[in-house]
Amino acid sequence: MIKLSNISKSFGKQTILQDVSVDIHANKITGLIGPSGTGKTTLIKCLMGMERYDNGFISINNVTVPNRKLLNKIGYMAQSDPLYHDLTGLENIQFFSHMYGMKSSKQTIKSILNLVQLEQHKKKLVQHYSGGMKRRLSLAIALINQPDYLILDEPTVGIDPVLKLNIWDQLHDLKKDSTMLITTHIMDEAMRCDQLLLMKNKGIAVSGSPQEILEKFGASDIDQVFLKLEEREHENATSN
Amino acid sequence: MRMLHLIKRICQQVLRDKRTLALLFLAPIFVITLLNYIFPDPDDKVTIATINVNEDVINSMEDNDMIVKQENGMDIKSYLEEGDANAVLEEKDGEWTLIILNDNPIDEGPAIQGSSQAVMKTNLTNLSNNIDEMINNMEEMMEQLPSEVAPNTNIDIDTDINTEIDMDEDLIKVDYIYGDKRYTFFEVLNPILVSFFVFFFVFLIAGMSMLKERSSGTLEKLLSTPIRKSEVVFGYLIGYGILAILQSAVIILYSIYILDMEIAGSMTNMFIINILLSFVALGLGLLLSTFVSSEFQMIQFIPIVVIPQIFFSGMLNVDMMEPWLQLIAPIMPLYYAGNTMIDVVLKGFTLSEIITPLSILLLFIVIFITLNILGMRRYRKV
Repeated sequence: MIKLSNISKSFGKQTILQDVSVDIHANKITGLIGPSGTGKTTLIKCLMGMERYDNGFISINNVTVPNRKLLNKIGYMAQSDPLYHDLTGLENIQFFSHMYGMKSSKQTIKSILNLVQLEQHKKKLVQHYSGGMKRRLSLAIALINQPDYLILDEPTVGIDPVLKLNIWDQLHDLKKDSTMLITTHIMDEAMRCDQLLLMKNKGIAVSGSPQEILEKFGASDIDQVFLKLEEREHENATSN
Repeated sequence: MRMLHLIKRICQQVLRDKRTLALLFLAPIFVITLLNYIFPDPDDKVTIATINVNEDVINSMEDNDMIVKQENGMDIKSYLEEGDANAVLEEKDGEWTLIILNDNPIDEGPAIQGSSQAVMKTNLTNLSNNIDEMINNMEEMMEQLPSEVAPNTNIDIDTDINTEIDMDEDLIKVDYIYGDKRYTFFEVLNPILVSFFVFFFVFLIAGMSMLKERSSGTLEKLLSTPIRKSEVVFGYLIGYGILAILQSAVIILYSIYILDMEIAGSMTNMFIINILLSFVALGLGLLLSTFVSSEFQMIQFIPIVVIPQIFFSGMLNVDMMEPWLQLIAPIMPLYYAGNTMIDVVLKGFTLSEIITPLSILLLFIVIFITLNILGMRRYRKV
């Protein structure tokens, strides 16, 4: 379980996160959604120990963040594709697998490459990969250490619809033995998550399963929920 | 273990990047070779054109291995511009004039030196001949004096004064503490340049590749794995260090065996200096890449960080510089490396004699490594 209590983070005078408290449960896909600039990536960087949070407390697997050894249990996929373009896909995977201090068996690597459908392209240099192939390779690298916790920042951007469905199926398969946190701004993807955290105004405005949230707001999709949140805020501002 | 794989990856990447390989190994060889042939050969003869100059001076100049052309009534400026002679020597009413273009001090030194030597020699010979003549005259005068005056005056002239000038010998014999007279500027420049190339190319390549790693996000990704920050820094240092060592070896062996650079000291000491220096360059390159966001900004560091170091690297004598410049010199790694290279290559210093500058280079490495590890905190807090 990932536990955040009263997390605050600001850069200089600009507050990005204020008093964020949330539990992210195991065996579920939790979606972190919200307009850009609401602090999704900052929240993830705090979870990874890449940024220090100013106040509050984060624990993963009952270990306080930041902790270097904890990273063994986490698979991370960044928004950009951090790949070595002058190495082949396979070499990229092998390199990061070694960085987790393990030598992944050929079988493991093969099954992961099959999952992202890159098995036949593994000997190609990454610089000759298409955008979608790079995204898939990044995902494969995030899975290489068979992590208990998967933190994926916009994992399906630039991946074609058929493969996207495929990957979502796989993610639902993987959640059996992991805790998954995914950010996205694509609303139909949000609906595929088990649990949603809607970020707005430096914090989490609404949380719950997609159905619960839609019912609560009487909305037909998540976009409308954000619009209604906006209206409410506006009303509050004028009534004050 | 992780570090070994990091090193392996760096080598793999550089080996695939043919341009970087060429920059590391071929570029320094190309420049050093050029320099070797660009400097005038000390055996090259100086050509002097003479106008109205007497035989004695011309003979004296020819004795000094200078080529003399007797000319008359030409336009001196265009004559020199055409490159027909290095200088024109003219005598007018006992006044000697040497005319030079003064567009290249390296060529003109020998011309000025050679012709003034010849004129001086001739003048001295004339002087001694005059003195000889004077003594002879006096002797004759004495003999002609009436015999009764002579004993009283009691003049005793030592007629054995040696007024001979040996024209076969140089006026001054030069004793060389280090090396011999065949040394050219290249002999001084080459050991410094070896170090300069090691520093410059390693700095550039390490800085650029770390920058690439930062901007592509792979450094962040790398630090999302449980690798230690120190493992990343040392992996980088050793990975590029291997290349830097190979580069130093290629440059040093090429200078010694192909360009016939003479070394008074040991080759091992040359390696030690340059390997230490390359690690300083690596540390500095990695560190400065923290402060830049593009390749162009990395290039902007070159005139600030790299170029000024050349002046302090032993080409010019730091002890003769302005006092405030002497204060700047000790913060420059190339000041230690360049001067120590000269100590080893030209003066034959042993390891124990260069231990101080080597320790300072080591200190630079320790400082840069520490700062680099601290700098990694930007990407991960633990």
